[in-house]
Amino acid sequence: MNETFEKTALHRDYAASKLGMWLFLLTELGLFFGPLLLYVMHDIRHPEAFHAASSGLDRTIGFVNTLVLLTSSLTAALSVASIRRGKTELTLIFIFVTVTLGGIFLVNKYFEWTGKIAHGIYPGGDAFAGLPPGEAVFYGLYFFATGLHGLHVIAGMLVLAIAAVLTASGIVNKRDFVKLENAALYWHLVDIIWIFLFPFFYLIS
Amino acid sequence: MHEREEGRVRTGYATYVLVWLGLMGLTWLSVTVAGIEAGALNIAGPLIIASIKAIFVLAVFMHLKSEHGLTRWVIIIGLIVFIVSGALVFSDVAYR
Repeated sequence: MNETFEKTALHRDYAASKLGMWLFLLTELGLFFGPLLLYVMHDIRHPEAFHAASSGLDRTIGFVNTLVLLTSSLTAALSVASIRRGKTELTLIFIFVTVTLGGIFLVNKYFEWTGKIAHGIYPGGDAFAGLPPGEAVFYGLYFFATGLHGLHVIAGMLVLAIAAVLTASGIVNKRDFVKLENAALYWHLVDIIWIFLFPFFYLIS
Repeated sequence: MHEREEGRVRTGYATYVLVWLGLMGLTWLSVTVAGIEAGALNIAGPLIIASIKAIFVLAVFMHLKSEHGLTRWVIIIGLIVFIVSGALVFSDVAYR
C-alpha cells in the first residue's frame, strides 16, 4: 500500500504539463489576435488617420521597451538553463533580473500612458472625443491592446516570483523544473505578443 | 519518465545569447526599415522582421525545435490556424 502511494506521489507527467501550458498559451494568443485583426481592418479603412495617430506615439519608448522585453526573455531562458544544471543561485539571479526588467517595461509604459492621458487622449477624455474617427479607433485599440499586454506583464512577474519562491525552497530543482519552465514559457509569450504590438502601433501605420 | 527527462535536449548559454543578439539587431533593422520611404516595404518589412523574431523566440527560447510528438503538432497546427484566419480576414477586407 505504502509503496503504491509513494509511486503515485512521485509520478510527474512532464509532457502533459508542457502540453497543458501550450494549449493555454494558444488561447492567450487568440485573445490578442482579435484586437490585431480589428487593427488591420480599421487601418485599411482609415490609413491616413492611423498614420497621423501612430506618429503621435513615441517610437523611442517603444524601441527601448522592445529591447528591455527581449533582454528579459533571454534572462528567463537562462534561468531555466541554469536550474537544469543545478545552479539554484544563478537561477534566482536570472529570475530577479527578468522580473526587474518587466518592472522597467511597466514604468516606461506608465510614462507613455500618462503623457497621452495628460493631453486628454484616452477613451472618455476631452481631446479623445474630438479626434477624427480613425484616430479615435487607433487610440482605443492602442489603450486596449497595450493595457491588456501590461496586465499580462504583471501576471508574468507574479508567476515568475512564485517560481522563484519554489526554486528557493527546493520544490523546483534540477530534476523537477517544469513549473519554472512553464512560467518562463508564459513570459516568452508576453514577449512574442509585444514583438507584434510594437510594429503594429509604432512602425507600420 | 526520468529517461525522457534526461533525454531532453539542453540548449547552451551561448546559443541563447547569440539569439538575443540577433533579436536586438532585428529590432534595430525593423525601426530602420520603417523609416525608409519605400512604399509597401514600410509595412511588410517590419511585420516580416517581427515574424522572424517570433520564430526565433518560439524555436530557441521556448524550445519548440526540441519539442516532439503531440505537443509539437498541437503548437504548429494552432499557429497555422491563426495564420490562415488572419490571411482570410485580411484578403476579405483588403480586396472587398
